[in-house]
Amino acid sequence: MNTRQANRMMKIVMLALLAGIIVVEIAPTVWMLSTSLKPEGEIVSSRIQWIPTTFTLENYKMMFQRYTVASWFFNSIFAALASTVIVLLIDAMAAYAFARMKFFGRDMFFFLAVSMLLVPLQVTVVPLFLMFQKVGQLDSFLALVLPTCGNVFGIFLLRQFFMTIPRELEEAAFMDGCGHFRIFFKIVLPISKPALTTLAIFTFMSSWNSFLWPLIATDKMRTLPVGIAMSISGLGGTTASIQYGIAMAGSLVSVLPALIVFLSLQRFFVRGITMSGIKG
Amino acid sequence: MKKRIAKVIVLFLAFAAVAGVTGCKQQPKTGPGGVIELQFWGGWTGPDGKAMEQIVKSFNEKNKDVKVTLTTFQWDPLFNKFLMSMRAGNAPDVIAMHQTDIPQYAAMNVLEPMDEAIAKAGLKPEDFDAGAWEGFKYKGKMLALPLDIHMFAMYYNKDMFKKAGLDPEKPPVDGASLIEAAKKLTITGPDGKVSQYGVGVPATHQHAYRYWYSLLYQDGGQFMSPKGKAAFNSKQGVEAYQFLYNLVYKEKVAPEQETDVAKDFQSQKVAMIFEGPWWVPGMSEVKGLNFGTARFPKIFAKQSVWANSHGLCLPMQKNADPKRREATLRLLKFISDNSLDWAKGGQIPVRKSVSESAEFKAITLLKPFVDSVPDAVYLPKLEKGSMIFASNASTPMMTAMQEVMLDQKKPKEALDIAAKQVDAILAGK
Amino acid sequence: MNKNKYGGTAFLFLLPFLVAFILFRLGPVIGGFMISLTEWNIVGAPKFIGIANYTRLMHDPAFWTAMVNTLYFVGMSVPLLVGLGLGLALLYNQPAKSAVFGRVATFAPYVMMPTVVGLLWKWIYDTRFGLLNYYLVKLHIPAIPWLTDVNMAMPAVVIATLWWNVGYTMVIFLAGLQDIPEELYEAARIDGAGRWGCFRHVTLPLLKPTTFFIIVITLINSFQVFDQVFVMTNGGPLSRTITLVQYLYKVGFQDYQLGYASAVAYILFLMLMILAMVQLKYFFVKGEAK
Repeated sequence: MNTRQANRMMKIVMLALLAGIIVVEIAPTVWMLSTSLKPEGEIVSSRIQWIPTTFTLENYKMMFQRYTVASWFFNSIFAALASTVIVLLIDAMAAYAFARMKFFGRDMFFFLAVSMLLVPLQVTVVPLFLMFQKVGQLDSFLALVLPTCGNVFGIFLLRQFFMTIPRELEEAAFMDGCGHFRIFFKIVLPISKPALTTLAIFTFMSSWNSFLWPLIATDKMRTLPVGIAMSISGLGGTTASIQYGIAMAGSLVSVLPALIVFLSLQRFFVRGITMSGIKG
Repeated sequence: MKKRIAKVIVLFLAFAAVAGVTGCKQQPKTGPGGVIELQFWGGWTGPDGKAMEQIVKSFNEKNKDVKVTLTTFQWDPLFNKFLMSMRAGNAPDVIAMHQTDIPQYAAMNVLEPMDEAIAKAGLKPEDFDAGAWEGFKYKGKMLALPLDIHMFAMYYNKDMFKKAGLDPEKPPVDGASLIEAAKKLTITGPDGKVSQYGVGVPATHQHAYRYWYSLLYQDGGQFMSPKGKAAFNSKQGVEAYQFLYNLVYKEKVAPEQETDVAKDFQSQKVAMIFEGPWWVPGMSEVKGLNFGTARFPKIFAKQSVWANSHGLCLPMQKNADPKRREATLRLLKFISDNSLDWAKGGQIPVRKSVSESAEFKAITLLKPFVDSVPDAVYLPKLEKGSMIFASNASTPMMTAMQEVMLDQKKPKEALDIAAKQVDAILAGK
Repeated sequence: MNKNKYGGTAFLFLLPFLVAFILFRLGPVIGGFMISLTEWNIVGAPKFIGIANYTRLMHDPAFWTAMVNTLYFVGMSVPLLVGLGLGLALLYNQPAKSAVFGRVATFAPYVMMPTVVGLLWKWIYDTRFGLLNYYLVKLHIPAIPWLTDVNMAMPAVVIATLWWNVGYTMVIFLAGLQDIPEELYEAARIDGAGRWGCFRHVTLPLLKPTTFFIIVITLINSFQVFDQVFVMTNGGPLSRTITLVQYLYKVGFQDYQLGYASAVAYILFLMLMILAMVQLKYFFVKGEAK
C-alpha cells in the first residue's frame, strides 16, 4: 500500500468517524423533535420510531391552549435583546479602558470584577430581590433586564480581544487628533465585530436561559424557561409522571430562538472567539 | 469629544426611559370601576389546575364586582415566592397549601387564623370530614379551609386480570391475595425476561415511603413517640418495609428500580399500582386501558392508608381592607360549595354534603377513595416537617426509602439512621 | 501618552459598567455575605450570629456528601470536557464541509437551556421507554436504570453534561488551533517531524494558554453544576448526585435557612477563588506580556 492509498484510507476512516460523531451529537435533538410530534400512545411504547407513525401537532396545541406561551416568549425575547444591547455597550467601553488605559487600581479592580465569575449566582438572588422590592420594580421589565448588566464575562472576553488589536491603528488616529471616544466608536468597535458577536450570543443566551432570578422576581412577567419548567415539565408535583410529548414540544419552542440566533451568527461566532479578527 | 460623551449619555437615558416606562406598572389593588382584584395561588399544574381555573372562571362570571386571578405553578417555587411576596407586602389574598405544610408556615407567622372567617362565610365544621378538619388546626386554631382529601387506592388493569384468570370485579384486599394475584399477573417470556409485572412499587419516588407509612400504621406502629422522638424504626416499621422489599426482591412480582408506576400502568406493563385520586381523569383518557379502582389493601391488622389534604389559607395582610376580605370569603365559600367540580379534577371533596351527593357518587372510580376516608392517617404535624418528609430533596425519609427499595441497606439499618437524623432535625441541629 | 488625561477618560469609559457592576453584582454579593452571618428565614428579621453558620457547615454530613459528589462530578467532567473538546477541535480543524457541519452540530446543544437539557436526557435515559436502553437491549446489553442506579446516576449526568457543553470547549480549542501560524508546522516538518511530532512539539505547547483558559472556565462551571441535575435526578438516588449548589438551593429555598445557604455559597466561592488564583495569575502575567 503506497502513501496515497494510505492517505485515502485515512480520509475514509476520518469521514466515518466524523459521520458517527455527528449522528450521536444530533440524535438527542432529533429525538426531541420526533417525540414532540407523536401522540402519547406512541411515545410510551417499547418500539422506537424516529419518524412518527401518526404525525400530530396535538402536543403543541395543548401547550399553547393550556399555557400563555406567547406572552412568556415575548417577555423572554425583549428582555434578552435589551440586556444584550446594554451589556455590549457598557462592557465594551469598560473592557477598552482595562485593555488600553492606565489608571489607579486597574489590575486590582479587574481582578475583583473577574473574581465575581466565581460566585454562585444563587447567592445574589435574595439581596437583589430586596433591592428591587425597595424601589418597587419587582415583576417588571427592568427587573428582568438590569441584573444582567453586571456581566463580568464580557469584560474578560473583550479585554482579551482588545489587547490583540495592534496599538499602531489607534496611535495613528490619535495623531490625527481623534479623541478616545472617536477612536473607540470609529476604529475599535468596527474591527471588534466578531468578538462583540460572540459576547452578544453569550449574553442573549444567558438572559434567555436564566431561571432562578426571573422565577423569584416576576409573576406576570413570566419568562419562557420559568413558564416551561414550572408548568410543563412536571417537576415534583403530585402527578409526577411527565407527559413527554408536551414537555418536548415546550422544550423545542424554548430552544428554537437561541438555536436560530446561533445558527445565523455562527460564522461570526467561531471567528469571534478566535479573538483575532484583525487578521482576517 | 464632548459630543461623543453627550451621545453616550443620551443613549443611556433613552434606554433607561424605555425600560422605565415599560417597567412602571404598579399592581392596582382596585381595578377600573371599583372592581376588586384578588390574587389566588395554588400549586396545581395538572388536570387539577384546569379544574380550579374553571371554578374561578365561573366565580368571576357570577361576581361582577370581583376579579380573581388564579396563579399556578409548582409547590416549591410557589412557597418561595409566597415568602418573598409576604416580605414585599404584596402577598396573595388566598394561597392553597397541603395540610403537611401548615405547621412550617404557621410557625413563621405568615398565615391568619381562620376560625372567625370560616364562621362568617357560613361554613360549619359538622359538614367537613373530622380528620381533615382537625389536620388544619395548629395550636388550636384553624389555619385553612379544608378543600379535599387525597389518599392511595389500588388501580388495577381489568383486562390483565381476565387474562390471568382472576375475577376483574374482585381485586385483592389483603397481603396474601395481593401476592397471589401479583404472581399470576407476572408473565415471564421464553427468553427469561419479564414482560409484565403484577404490581409496581417505586424505588425512588416519594410514594414508596407513603406506602410504608400506611403499612406502619396498619401494623400498629407509630411515627413519633408520645415524647416527640422518632419511633418509626420499630418492629412494625421494619415489617412494613420488608413487605414492600419482598414484593420486588423475594416474590419478584414488582420491577426493580421502578421510577414511574403511573407510566408503566398506562402502557400496560404493570397490572396493579397504588396511586392517588388525581390519576382518575388522566387514566380514563388513556385509550385501550380498562381499569378499576379498589381500596388500598389491608396487609396488616388495620385498614390504614396515608392521606394528605389541600386547604385554602389566608396570608397575613398588613392592612386588611374589609371590602377585600368580604370578597375573599365569598370566593372561599364559592370554591367549597362547588368542590364537586374540583372532584372531577381527581380529588375527594371534604364537604360531606358534596361527597354524599348523587352526582359525586356517579363517579364510581372515586368510590374506593371515599370509602377510604375513615382509614386516613396523616403525617405528624411538625414545624420542620419539610426537612423530614419533603420528596424533592434528600430528606431522611426519602433516603431511607431509597436505601431499602434500591437494596442498599436492610430496613432496620436504614430506619435506624433515619430515626437518628429525624431526632437531630427536631432537636434543631 | 499622558497619564492624567487617561485617568479622566478611563473613568468615563468605566462609569456605566461601574454603576451596573456595583449595583447588580458586587452589592448583592456583599449582601449575600452579610446574610451568611445571620440566621434568617426571609419573613422575620435576620439575627446576627457571627460565623456560626460556617462552623456548623464543617460538622454537617449532608454538606460533605454534596462536596464529595461535586468533586466527583468535577473530576469526571473537566478532564472529559477538555480532552474531548481538544479531540473534536483537532478533528474539525479542516475546511471540509463535513467538518463545518460537525462544528455546528457539536456546538448547537450548548445554546439550549440546562432545564431543557435535563428534561431531554431524562427522557433518553428512561429505563423502559428511553432511547438509550432500547439500543442497548438491541445490542444484547441488559437495560440500565441510568438515573436510579446509585453507581450510574452521576456518570449519566456527566454524559448529558458532556453532550451539552463539549461544543463550547471545542470552539475555544478551535480558535487556539487557528491561531497557530502555519509556518511553525512547516518548520517542524522540515526538521523531520511527523504528524505526532507536530502535535507533540507545536500544537500542544502553543495551545497551553488556551488550555488554561478552558480549564479555568470548565472548573468554575462544573463546580457550580445545578440545573440539569435538578431536573434529571433531583440529587437522588440516595443523595448520590446532590451537588453543592443544589444543597445551597435546598437549604436556602426549601428549608428557608438563608444564612446557612449563603455560607455554603461562600465556601464554594472560597474554593474556586483559591483554585482560580493560580490560574488567573498566570493569565495576568500572560496578558501584560503581550
